[in-house]
Amino acid sequence: MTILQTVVVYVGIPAAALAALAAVILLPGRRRSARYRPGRSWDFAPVWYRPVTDPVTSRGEPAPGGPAPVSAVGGGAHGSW
Amino acid sequence: MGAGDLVSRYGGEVAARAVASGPGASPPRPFTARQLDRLDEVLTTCSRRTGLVFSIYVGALEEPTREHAERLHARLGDRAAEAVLIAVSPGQRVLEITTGCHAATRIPDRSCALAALSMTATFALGNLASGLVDGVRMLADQAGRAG
Repeated sequence: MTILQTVVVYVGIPAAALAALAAVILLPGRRRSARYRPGRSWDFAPVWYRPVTDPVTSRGEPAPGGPAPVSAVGGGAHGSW
Repeated sequence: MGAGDLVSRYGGEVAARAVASGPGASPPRPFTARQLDRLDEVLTTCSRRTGLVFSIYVGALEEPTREHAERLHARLGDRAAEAVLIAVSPGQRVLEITTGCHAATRIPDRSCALAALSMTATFALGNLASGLVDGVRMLADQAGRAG
């Protein structure tokens, strides 16, 4: 076995195996780090998930000067963390 | 699937969608595709089972946050009376649950407070999506089946 073959087998292959293992372990964690963390600012645009069949078709806040929607609030709760 | 739209896998009448508030809605979204799937599924199944309208708003709330949440709730229109709006502002660390006058007869304020407590505990750990999913499930369990 030449010196080059020895280096490839005993150094190159273990290094490649270690790099593959490290990628498998570290890459998912890096993707998760984009999640919300308490105390950090929230830079995303507001999103509102609501049923498709609801009659609201306007996007965003109602135009100023338009008729104010009638409130049908019955209760609720407040929380903070 | 268009930007900002969340199409239900069930294609039912209560398929949820994301409505970006404001004209300059930026493409980056706060949830992964898998989290959106879970949110969509729980909103769809809970709305169907209870006959109520569950809705989630995630974004900044103007002060006073309670009044802003009630304004959002009123914008649900004809179905506001049976709507349950969960408004979360992660930046302000505030959660507002608003129930319509019909929904409030099935989900008392005490149950809302319990769900809010559970959700804020999960939010404080950084788990926004799972807190929302669990909160909707708690409220739906309290409401029971439609009928």
